[in-house]
Amino acid sequence: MSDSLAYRGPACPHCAVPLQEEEQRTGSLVCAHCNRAFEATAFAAPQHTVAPTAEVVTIGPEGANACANHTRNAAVTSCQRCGLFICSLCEMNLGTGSYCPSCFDRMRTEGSLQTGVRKYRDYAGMSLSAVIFGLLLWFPFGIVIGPLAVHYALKGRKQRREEQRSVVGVTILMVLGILEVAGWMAMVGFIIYRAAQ
Amino acid sequence: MTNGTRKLVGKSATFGIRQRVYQTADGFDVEMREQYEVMQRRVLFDDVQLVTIHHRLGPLYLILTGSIASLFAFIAILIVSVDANDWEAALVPAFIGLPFLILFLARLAFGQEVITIFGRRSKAEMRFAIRKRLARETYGKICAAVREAQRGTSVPPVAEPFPEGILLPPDL
Repeated sequence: MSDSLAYRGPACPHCAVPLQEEEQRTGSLVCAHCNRAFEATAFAAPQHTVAPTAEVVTIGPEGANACANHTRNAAVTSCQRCGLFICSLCEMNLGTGSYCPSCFDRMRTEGSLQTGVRKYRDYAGMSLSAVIFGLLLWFPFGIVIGPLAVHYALKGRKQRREEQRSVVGVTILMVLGILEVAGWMAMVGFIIYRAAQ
Repeated sequence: MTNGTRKLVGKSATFGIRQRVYQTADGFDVEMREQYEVMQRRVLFDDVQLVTIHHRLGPLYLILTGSIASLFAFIAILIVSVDANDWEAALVPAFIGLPFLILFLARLAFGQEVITIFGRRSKAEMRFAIRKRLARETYGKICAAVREAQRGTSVPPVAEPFPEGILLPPDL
């Protein structure tokens, strides 16, 4: 978050001092600030053109509904969540439907908007750590760490399926977690058996 | 979250944060891992302004690996200096320090190639240790992909008028 906020455009890859527009060119460059060399390829990123928004005045009140947020603008669609009329400026088209800005914000905050999720937990990594700790501290902590590894592996499996990635690694972790629990139970059984003798 | 139609282009690891850069149909997906938190951001082909490649040694990495290797070498030398016949005991710290010495020397000899993609709103960084050729190839591929994508989105050239005297089909 802070990284994206701090980003100020192309900079020297060595010292991170922003490069002036005239310094952004193709070829071997030397940073004016740190005097170190780097190679660069500059691109003229195309400017995005914003489609003109139709005004109600030009179309006439019979031809269009006014946008709820911009009364001068003609609505192009309605929000799929709250039904509010929205103009092309307000429309947040996510591929799955069009939403008004406030609904988009709310859905993003709730986490119900999959395409808006930019931060999540790596459950597969958590499961791997739990399995490693479980192997190191198998006895006496296997009964706690094993189920934890399985729990995280299940969550990781679901996450990977959503991402359409392979679940083989997470399944192996799940099996190892189960084996840790089974091994712990066998060990406890063995201790009880020896004590009874 | 992203789907499976992406290709890993490069990785970057600094102290605390690991980055993975994937190429997708419309740009680059950057996955930043801080322990178990994964943060995603994108650098779209349309937004790319500058792609750079540079060589670095990484002084912090050299200091860290060099210090650890020196520490274990010092312990090994200390053991031998106390009792010259006890060289077998000195092998233990020597073997522990050996991987750090190899890492130190490899970095000193080959360095690291760093590719940075600067977009309008975000950037992506990839580091290639030892594999200079792969870094060059990746740099070329990234530039070609961006060039191709930006060519596609730029304003199409105006069609030249047909020279007079050429008979055109009726619908033209």
